[in-house]
Amino acid sequence: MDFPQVSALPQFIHPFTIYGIGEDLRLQAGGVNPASMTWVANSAVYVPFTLPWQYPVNRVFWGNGATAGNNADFGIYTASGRQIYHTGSTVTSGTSTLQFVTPSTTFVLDPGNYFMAWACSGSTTAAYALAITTAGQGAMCGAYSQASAMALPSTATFASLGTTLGIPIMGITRTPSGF
Amino acid sequence: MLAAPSFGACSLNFSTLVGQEAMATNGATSAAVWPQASAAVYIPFQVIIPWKVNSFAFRVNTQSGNCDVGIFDEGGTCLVAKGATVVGAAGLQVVDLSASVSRGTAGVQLGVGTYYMAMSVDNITASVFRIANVQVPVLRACGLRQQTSAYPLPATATFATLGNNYCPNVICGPNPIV
Repeated sequence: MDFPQVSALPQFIHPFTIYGIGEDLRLQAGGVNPASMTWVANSAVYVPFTLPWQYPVNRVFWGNGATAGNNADFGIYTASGRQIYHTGSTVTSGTSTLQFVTPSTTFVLDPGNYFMAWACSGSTTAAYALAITTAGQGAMCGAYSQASAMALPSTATFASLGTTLGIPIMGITRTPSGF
Repeated sequence: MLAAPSFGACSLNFSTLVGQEAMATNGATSAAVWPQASAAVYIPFQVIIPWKVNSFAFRVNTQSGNCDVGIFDEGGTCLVAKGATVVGAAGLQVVDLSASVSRGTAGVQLGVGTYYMAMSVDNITASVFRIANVQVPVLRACGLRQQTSAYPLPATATFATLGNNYCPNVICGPNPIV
């Protein structure tokens, strides 16, 4: 299906929007901004998002922290935890910047509820994320974690998102290039 | 969830991804000098219900030099730009885009789609209010772009990857801003 370049669809879908958990974060962890942060090696975070319309996924992205050269994996899951897509283990390149990956075959997500997921093999300042500083904040936003989840599994095993991880800047975009 | 404001766009409301991000992180504004002389910043916004661009506004902290403001379509074509405008005294500065514009169409009608609010300033002494504490990677993920040597605003934008941690607090809409 062809999609027009000029569209009312948001250019990006990420956790800090109304399509992600932006409103939840405002009340649960408001006042904190994403920044370079230390990750728990090989752990994954699952963040819910909702699409009210079909959305063409032309690229996916995440933010790298101040340390690059780790391996990361970005994925999309159904609401029940079945993997739809993942980039596979990808070396992180560039510090404190976004990293884009173009799927080998771009695809369209139907309207519905999903999770976006990100895992990373690194630890010290490996991620660019909003730190979860108080137990329960992640749960109240509907987010989960999973240990030993690098590369991302075909089926998620949702566990509590504690205070050692965060909500990464990551997501999907209909834009084919730029930014 | 679908309701983007139909009365205009603002870098701090739900019509923009950066506004959504600022809402999520309890963002605030603070004044800062323009980051690069003659650089433009482009802030994308969505139009769900068509409206006309008659007004554009921002908040000045320190008066200096000149600025330009306008609206571009997603492909980078300037739909309207005011042209050289003196940066006003401290306080709200409203730019009339309903008449006497240098580019495009005064009072241009925006259909459903994605557009950019654009602003450039010809010096780095002028200070305006911007979204505080949001870093470049996040602003990029909200679709912001920039262009050097873009004063006055060009007929066609040459979008570049955002490098400046600077998102001015701007608003535009069909009604007078007072």
